[in-house]
This record gives sequence, C-alpha cells and structure tokens, in this order.
Amino acid sequence: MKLKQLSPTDLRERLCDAGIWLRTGPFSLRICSSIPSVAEGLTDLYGQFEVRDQRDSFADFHVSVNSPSLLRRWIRPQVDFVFDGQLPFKPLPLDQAYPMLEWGLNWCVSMHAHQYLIIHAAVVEKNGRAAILPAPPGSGKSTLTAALILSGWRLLSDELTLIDRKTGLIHPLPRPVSLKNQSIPVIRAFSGDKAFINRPSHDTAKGTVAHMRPPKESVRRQHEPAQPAWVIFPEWVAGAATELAPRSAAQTFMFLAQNAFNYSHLGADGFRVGTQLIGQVDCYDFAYSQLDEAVRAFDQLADTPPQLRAV
Amino acid sequence: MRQANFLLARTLRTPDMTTRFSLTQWDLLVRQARQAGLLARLQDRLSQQALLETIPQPVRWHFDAAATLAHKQQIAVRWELGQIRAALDGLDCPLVVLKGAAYVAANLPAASGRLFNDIDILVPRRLLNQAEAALMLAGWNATGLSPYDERYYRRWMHEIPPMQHLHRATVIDVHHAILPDTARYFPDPQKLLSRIVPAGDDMPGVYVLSAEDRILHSATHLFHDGELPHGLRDLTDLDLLLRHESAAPHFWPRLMARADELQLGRSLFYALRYAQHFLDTPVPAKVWEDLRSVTPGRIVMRLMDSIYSRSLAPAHASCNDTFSPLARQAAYIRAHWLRMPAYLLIPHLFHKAFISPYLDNNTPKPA
Amino acid sequence: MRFQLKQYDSEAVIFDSASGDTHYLAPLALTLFQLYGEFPGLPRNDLLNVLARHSIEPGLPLDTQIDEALDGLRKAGLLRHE
Repeated sequence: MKLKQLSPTDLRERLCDAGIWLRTGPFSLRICSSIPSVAEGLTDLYGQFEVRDQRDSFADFHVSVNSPSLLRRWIRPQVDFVFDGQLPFKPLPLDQAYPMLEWGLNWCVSMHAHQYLIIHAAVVEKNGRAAILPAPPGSGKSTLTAALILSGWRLLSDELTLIDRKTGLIHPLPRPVSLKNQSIPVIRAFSGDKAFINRPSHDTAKGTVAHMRPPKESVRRQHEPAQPAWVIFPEWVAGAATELAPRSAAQTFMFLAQNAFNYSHLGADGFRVGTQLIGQVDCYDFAYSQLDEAVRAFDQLADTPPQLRAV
Repeated sequence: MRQANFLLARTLRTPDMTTRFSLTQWDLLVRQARQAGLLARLQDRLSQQALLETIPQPVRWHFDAAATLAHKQQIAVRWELGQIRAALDGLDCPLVVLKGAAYVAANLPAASGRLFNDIDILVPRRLLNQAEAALMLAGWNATGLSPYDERYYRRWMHEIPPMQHLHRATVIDVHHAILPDTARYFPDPQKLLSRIVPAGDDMPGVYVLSAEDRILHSATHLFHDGELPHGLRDLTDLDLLLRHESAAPHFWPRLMARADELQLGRSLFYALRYAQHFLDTPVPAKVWEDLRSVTPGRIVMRLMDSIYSRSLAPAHASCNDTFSPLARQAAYIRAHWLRMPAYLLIPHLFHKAFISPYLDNNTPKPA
Repeated sequence: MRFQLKQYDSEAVIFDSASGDTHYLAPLALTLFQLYGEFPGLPRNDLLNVLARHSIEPGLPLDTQIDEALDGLRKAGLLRHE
C-alpha cells in the first residue's frame, strides 16, 4: 500500500500513536510524530512510498520528531529528533520540524549502514549509467540534481550515495530533494511550476530550506541498483561557459575517501570498494552558469556510448 | 534471584532461541542490543553457534555492519598500542594495558565483538608526569574539560584527564591505580604491577594484568565507576573472561585469594552474582561459600538487587520499569560514594547536576 | 602484505593496512616509492641520474623536490628508515 492511500486524518492518528512503517530504498522506517508539519510533509512528499501494517514487522530505524516537553510545546516551541530513545542532536525550533526529520534520517543511514560505502554526494542515472555528484555545500549541487531529475534523469539520492560493498552498484534512496535559499525559486521557475516543493522552513543553519517531491518513476524504481559511470564535481560560477574537464582519478579517489561518511570504518574494504569505483568511472570537473545548458551537457554524456576500459 | 528476562539477556544466555523469533522479536532484539553496545558481540555469539544464516534477510545487515565496525576497531587498537609503546619507550616501566585494549593485546575471547572508546593504561604514580609529557610530545593532549572537571580528575581520580590525539582522535586514559586514593578500598597498584604478564608475541613490549587481576579489575570497574551506560556489556566481558580462565587448574581458589589480598572481595561477589543473573555465568557453589564473609545481609542484598538488576540493564525503554531511573541514580551515587568521602561527594554531584550541562550531546556510539 | 597500491596513470593511492591510513602519491613521490622499493638504499647520485632523464616537475630544483617528497613518504610511514 502507498502512503497516499492513507487519509490525512488516518496518517496523523497513526503518527501520534504507534507510528507509521515506511520503506525508503533499502531501509524500513518507523516514524512517530505529533507535530502537524511533519504529518503534512509526509503527506506532501512521500505519497508514492510503501507503507505497511505494524503487526509483525521489523524496522531498520525507529525515529520520532516531537516536542521535548510540555512547556516547550508552547513557549519558544522546539522539537527533538529521537533515534530509538537517543537524542543525537540539540533541539530545533518548531518551524524546522520537517527538515529535522530529513536530516535525522540521513544521520541514521550514514551512522549505521556499513554494508555500503556511503559518500556524501548526489547521484542520478540515465540510460543505465549513474553520475555521482559530490560537492561542498553552496556549490549548487542540489539545484543541478533537481534540474536533472526534472529533465528525465532518475533520482537515486540527493545526499547519500550508497555503494554496495559486495557488488559495487549504487542503491537508490530517492527521498525528497532538499533545496536551499535561491534554489527554491530557481527550480520552481525551471519546472514551470510543475515540481512540488513544500512549505519552506526559515532561519535554519543552512538558511531557508524546502523539499521537492521525488519523481514518481524514481520512487517506483527505488529497488533497482545502478552501475556507476561518472564522478562529476559541479560548480556554478556566474557567467561561466558550460564545460566538462577531465580530472585526476587518484585525486578524485582521495576526495571521495575524505567525503565518505564511513570510509575509515570499512578498513581495507573501503580502499577496495573506492578503487573499484574509480576504476569504473570517468572523473570530471563541471563548470556552468545556465541550468538548461548544464542539463544538455549531461544528456550528451548519457547519450555517448561507454568506451571500453582496460581492466 | 530470578534471571533477567528482557529479550537481549535471554538471547545471550540461549542464542538458539532466535531460530524461533518473529520479526517483531528481531526488531526488539536489535534495538536492545544496539542500546547496550552489544550488537557486534551478539553477532559473534550467533556466528560461533552457526546461527548467522538463520537471521532473516531484512535483519542481517545490522549484525554485519556492527561486526565490520568491531573488526576495524581491533585493528585500530593494535596500531594505537604500537604508537603508545613508541611514545613511552623512554619510560622506566613496562607498558601495562587495562580493560578492553588488554583483551585485544592478549588475543582473549573477550576482545571479539567489542567496541572501544578509549585505551586505558597503568603507570606507576611516580612516573605519571613523565608519561603525560611523553604522550604530549607524541601528539596526545588533555581533552577540553572544564577547569572544575580537570581538578577533579587530577586531585581525586586515579587517572589524569583523558588525552586525545591531535590527528587520530584516539583517547588514552592514563591510570596510576585502579581506584582513586579516596575510595573505601585500596587495591595496591604495586601488587598489580608485580604480577603483570606479557600480552603476547605479536605485541612485544606490551603487558597486561594477570588473569585473576584482569577479572578483579573488571568486577571493580563495574561497581565503582559511576557511569554504567554499558553495564551489561562490561558484564559480558567478565563472563567471557571467567569462562576462558576457569578451565585452568585451581583458578577459583587463586581468584578468591587474590580478591582477599586486594580487598576486592565484595566487588567480586556482586560481579559474580549479577553475571549469573543476566548471563548464567557458571560459578561453582563453593565460591559462594568462600565469599560468605563479604556477602551482605538480606536487606542490603535486596536493595542492591533492585538497584543493579535495573541499572545494569540497557537504558532502553523496553528494559526499564518505573523504578529504573531511580535505580540508575542510586547506582551512580553509590559508585561515587565508594570513590569519594561524603564531604567531597555532595559538592561534586551538585556541580555535575546543575553546573555542567546534564544533557550532553555526544552522538551515541553505534553498537 | 601491509601496503596496497593502486596506480592511476602517473599518480597513485596507497592503503596502509596496519594503520588504516590512505595516502595520495603525486608522480615524484610514486616514482621514489617504487624506486626505493626495487633498490633499497639507492645512492642519491644514481637517483638523480635516473630522474634527470625523465623530467618530473618544473619549478623547484630536483634535489629539493626529492627531499620534500621523501619527507612526505617518511611521515606517512611508507619508507623504511634509511
């Protein structure tokens, strides 16, 4: 059953009570919350995801977003993210309850899912090949990711690239895409107002934050892993010409190792998986200033047949 | 005393009961084990009993991921011990490792499936300053404690404040005794040092406490250190140490004699009692007789049972009852009372409760 | 085997299984690592001759570049002490 088949009242009731069981990519979640904006966010953004009955179930992560105390429900209201009885973060203002859920879910995965090498990067796929987009905050990665998935690319993930240690394939986790500040109007315009972006939260540590609903097709295919083909470092520079420039494989490896959440936890296997990945991909720096040109450049890449690689 | 009956305890005692688990039971087990820091150890137990393949597919990765972490940490501890040995090369004493790192150094069963926070070493008091200086030279520095906490460590505790390495972020606790000077009991560190043994051929220059002393230290640590976030895990250490050593001839009489000599009989009594309660650790009947002189009276015993049956359980909602918060607090206070006299204890607890923030925001360590 | 090396063109990455550290080797450092691996205790003059025939990097004099690269390798624990 899909989440959208639950009435909003039913959803809210369950969230306040035993919680809802939800599947996102390889992970099952049990979410509890009595905060209205959380119920609203789930209704708006998770309609296509599978929900299940509570009875005889196993959930990978038990999480809740709730007020820390009765007092804090009314006076400078705050919310806590709770992971099975533990509080990994300080409380946040009530207005940020929904993004806090998203950040908390990212934390759960990056702290625990060591069956994957987890790289802090977006990843999208077209024609059976995946492009990994690592980038420091503020580089426009999320805007580019959003534009690509609005233009026919499949969303695999906007934050956490999961590389299966056994197969080297990328496992999708197509949760809502987070957009910040200027990205929000830019993507709205780019999509001709067709993309669904939820109500923004303001004054967060990252500024104004909102989330975009993942494409239906991406969610439908959330259990289909993909072959990595490119690692592309995007950088938006005002007025820049669209340019794809080859990049050192060794230095790309080092960057990924330093920007993976759990590279060092995996020991020698982290090195093995990382070098195997680099051996399968072409590495590029990508400069752009026009979103539609950027998308065209990516499309061109996807349409170029893969070259044979020396093993 | 009836045995602990929350799911994790029952599973540790009888791992093959998992073959009959529903998904809901697996769900609860994983959560209790994670809270207790025992996921990796449970994986190890299931693996030893050839039960890994019977874990349902959606559940399995939690155990494998924990095992990955534990395996990596063992490698890291070994490396770190080598670095420490090099740093303390000039010191006129052997490098003696305590607790978890010692289990790794000596290749004991108690090392497997274990996660490590810090590395604990024992240094004679007269060499403490020199050791601290040598470690600082090699990149370890006292961690950012408040001035109050730092004074507390230096004056009253049996260790200098934890030192963290600049690059590797590993933490060393340098002890000069296993209990503070102010404690009610004083196990002479010189006696401990006189019986140290080499860790093994693959760890030259590294020493550990003798088998009996390791066990007594584990028991003492449980009942004298205030923090019990991993009480059950520490009990499993003790359980593994005992099962491994008790095969040796005359082990129990030697252990009793040593406990007596070091004045640690009562800690040992409690440790054995609760190891049996949670983990069914085999203890010969004669041992209880020999410990009669340190066995508390019925009333005190009942009180201790109600405190420790709760405070040693994992701090997970499913393992708690109404009295658990009080029990944990009582255990904390008792441990501190054993370490410090009352006139020092009250200001200290006041400070901890109201001045240092109570809710610390350290990320919980994955199991 | 303690070290695992993966080469990409003239650069490489190397994993130290004892310490768990991963290092990047720029072209000169990689060459030195491989040369010393094949010929431990290679005299400096012979080394300069070998390298001078293959221009590595412009800029600083070769001697200085070699010293810096060796220093980096030593700090990373990749060279046995000569």
